[in-house]
Amino acid sequence: MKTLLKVKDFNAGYVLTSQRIHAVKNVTFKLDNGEFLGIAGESGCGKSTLALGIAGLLNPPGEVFSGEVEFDGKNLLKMKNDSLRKLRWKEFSIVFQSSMNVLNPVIKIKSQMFDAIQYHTNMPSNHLEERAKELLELVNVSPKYLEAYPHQLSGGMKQRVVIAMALSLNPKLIIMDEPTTALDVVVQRNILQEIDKLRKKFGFSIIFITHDLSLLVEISDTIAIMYAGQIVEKAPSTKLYAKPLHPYSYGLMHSFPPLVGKRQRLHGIAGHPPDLTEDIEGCPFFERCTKRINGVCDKAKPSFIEIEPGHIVACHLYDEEGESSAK
Amino acid sequence: MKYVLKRITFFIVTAWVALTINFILPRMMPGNPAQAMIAKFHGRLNPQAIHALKIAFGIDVQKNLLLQYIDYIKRILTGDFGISLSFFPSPVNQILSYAIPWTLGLVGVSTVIAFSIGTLLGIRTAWRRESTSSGIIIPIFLFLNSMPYFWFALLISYLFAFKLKWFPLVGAYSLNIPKGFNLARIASILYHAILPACTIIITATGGWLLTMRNNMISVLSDDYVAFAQAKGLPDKVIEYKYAARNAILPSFTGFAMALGFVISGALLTEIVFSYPGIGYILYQSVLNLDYPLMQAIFLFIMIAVLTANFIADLFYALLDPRVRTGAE
Amino acid sequence: MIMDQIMSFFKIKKSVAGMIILLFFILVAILAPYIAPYSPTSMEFMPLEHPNSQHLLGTTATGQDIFSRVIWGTRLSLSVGIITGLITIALSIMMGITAGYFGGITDGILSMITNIFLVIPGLPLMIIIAAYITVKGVMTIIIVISITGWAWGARVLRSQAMTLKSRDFIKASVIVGEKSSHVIFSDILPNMLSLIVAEFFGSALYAVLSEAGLEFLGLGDANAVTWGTILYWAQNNQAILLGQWQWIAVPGLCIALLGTSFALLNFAVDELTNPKLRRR
Repeated sequence: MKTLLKVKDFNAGYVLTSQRIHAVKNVTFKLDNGEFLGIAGESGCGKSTLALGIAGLLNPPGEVFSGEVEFDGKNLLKMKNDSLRKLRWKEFSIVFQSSMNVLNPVIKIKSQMFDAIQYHTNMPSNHLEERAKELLELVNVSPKYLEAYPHQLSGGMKQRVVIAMALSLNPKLIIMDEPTTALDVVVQRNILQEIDKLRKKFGFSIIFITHDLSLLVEISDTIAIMYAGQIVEKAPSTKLYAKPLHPYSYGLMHSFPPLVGKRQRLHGIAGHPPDLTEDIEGCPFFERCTKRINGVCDKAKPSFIEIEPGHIVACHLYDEEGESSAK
Repeated sequence: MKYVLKRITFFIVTAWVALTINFILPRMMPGNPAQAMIAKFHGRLNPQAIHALKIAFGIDVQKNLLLQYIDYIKRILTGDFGISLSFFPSPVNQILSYAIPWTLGLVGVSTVIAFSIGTLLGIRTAWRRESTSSGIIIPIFLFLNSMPYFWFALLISYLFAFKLKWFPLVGAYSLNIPKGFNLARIASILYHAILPACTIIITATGGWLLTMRNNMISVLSDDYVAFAQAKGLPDKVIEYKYAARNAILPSFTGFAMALGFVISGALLTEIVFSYPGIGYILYQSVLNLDYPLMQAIFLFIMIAVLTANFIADLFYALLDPRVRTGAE
Repeated sequence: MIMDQIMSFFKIKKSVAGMIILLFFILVAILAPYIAPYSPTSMEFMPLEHPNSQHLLGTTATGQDIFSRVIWGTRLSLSVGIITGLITIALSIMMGITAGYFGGITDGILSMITNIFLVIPGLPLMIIIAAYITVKGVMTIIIVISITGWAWGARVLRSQAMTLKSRDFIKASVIVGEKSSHVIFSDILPNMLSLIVAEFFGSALYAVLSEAGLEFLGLGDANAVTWGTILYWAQNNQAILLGQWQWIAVPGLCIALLGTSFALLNFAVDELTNPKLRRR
């Protein structure tokens, strides 16, 4: 499996007049061709900042502090604006959170679908309409909506149109940031199924960001759990489901009631995420962790350990420091 | 089309309010100005004229207020505005028909130019927020927008007409040139219009610029602009097709108000340059207490603004599809 | 919270510049008796003198010292501007917040009235009204400007009031059973404070310019000492043709600067409260 995206020691955040928010801390991961990577975590854990940062779309006051992003062999962070622009949409595309507002309200749908294609390829104009109809069919939207304006579409349809747009140039990677959060569960499921079908058909990679872990478990190949700007665990989804190692992953996994089975008491995760304006000594989850080891977890940052092939976790419960103090 | 109906209704209601204000004011003011004016003209007007005036201003108490009002509305709708006092015996309509073209020409052209320049500069200075040119342009226009128009007109006329003698000091055309539709006359008209037009343009552009700039800055942080960026569209496309296209909408909804300011400025400019348009005539009529003329001018200005506003509303409907199809 | 806002207010260049200019004029107004070399109304001097060491700005056609007139004029011009601004914003608050908060028919009627006043051009209406009023004076000007200038502020405040009304904490107050007047004064108004301040500066700017315009046209009290009336007399006495450009330039510049200071403060408070406009 060839590596498509390599992210190494990525740091990003927001610089305001009075403070500096370090939203993404030392994130490192790899993505292969055709892989479906899900990134899960609470609101405010830095997932969106990570996505925007990788895509070079973090506008001020957002800023990439340091790190490397290598896409298909090219260093994205060091590219000139113009070269990066040429890569956009053709090589990778992004579907934003709340697609309610990502469509230009005053121009027709077809115009917005065309322009991405027009500015990146030399497709003659008569073919554009063909292509647009093709794309809409893929996402089950009637082609008559090409002549419509965004406000005439329902939320679910807008989302589908945006996904169709993201596919229009057959990119190698699509980043989806909470694409279904604003939709009801039935529509959510439909869209997820469509996304999966399209992926299998065209073979692109997906980075799917959400706060809803239950969504990811079924369709992802790999899942990464983010907390307070850092990745705390990453594993193939079956392995994560079977054995969530990090206390936070465990908490997330068990916050959802199963559809069948006995009624159980749900455990949430008490407390709230740490303040990202300050540097945190030790493990960021320390305050809320039910399994924390005083003296270790609050003093030393845990580094990644591979517990089983492909399954890494950053937690003192599993490294020598933790094990030694447990004794 | 509900939208168009709403706008037409507004037009009619506002016009009616203006008519009513016109009717009520002279009857309401302390010191009964109508009486004072009539007394002033007593020796100089023939009895029929005085009688007409009395009727026009309700001094004649034979009819009650409501009947007077109905009479008034009837007269207005037939275009009868009475006889001017300061230009006696010319009917008001004649005076207006002479002055209106000058103002329409001057204000119309200046507004179009000011709107275009202001909007374009507004777009550019918003897009390139950090550049030095933006840093200079904004304070300049802020100042231009906050100064009294007539003062600026005075200074300009002093500098360019009096001192440098590059342009004429007063008037709409040179009196030496024969009347009629000839090139020399047209050239003279244009020549005389330059200073007043520049005054209006320079003072009015700032308002459009600052409005457009604020709107652009607001729009640039909207999601669809970020998405356009994510699509890798060229900067110019994002700037115009996505950002400006949306940012310009409030300029149309606020058009009437902005026009109101332009008209106020134009009035004063005409007075400074003795440009024979409505503003100048209004000034004369105020000095001479020529109420019939004053009322007619006020009504004309109102109708003109309402019409321009209505046209702007139509433009807005053209540009914003949400209005056309009745979405929220 | 308020301290925070005040602190960041002073960080913006515009607000500092605006404040400085405003304070300058306030100082001049207060210290007028001490700074002005002569009385503003005394006509004892040689008329129409060009600027010289005795009369920095020359003298008027009736032998008054222009420099002293400009300094003394600060008092009336500044106070009329501010007072009119306050009255205008008070009207805007009444009309706007009532319409925005109560909604329904009240809103329908008040909004209609607001829109009508918004469309009617200010200066022509002011001229007409002022022309009918036989008593010419400062009060006339204040009233006339306030009556015509409140509509813009009312519209802005109305939409803000409508937005606030739908916020949870206001809804909570209503559900608990607070009287409308209480909700408006304790909950809504304090949250609109910065917007009201910004609109006040806008109204003050409008007032200063309108005052100057009306006085210039002779619709004010020609014997009062204000910058506008100085310009009125200058124009009446053909200042331009006599080459006495400073008679016109300086009072007008004062009006422009005072106006600019209000515009800057308006801009600054706007930037402060609208995060989208802020420079990062």
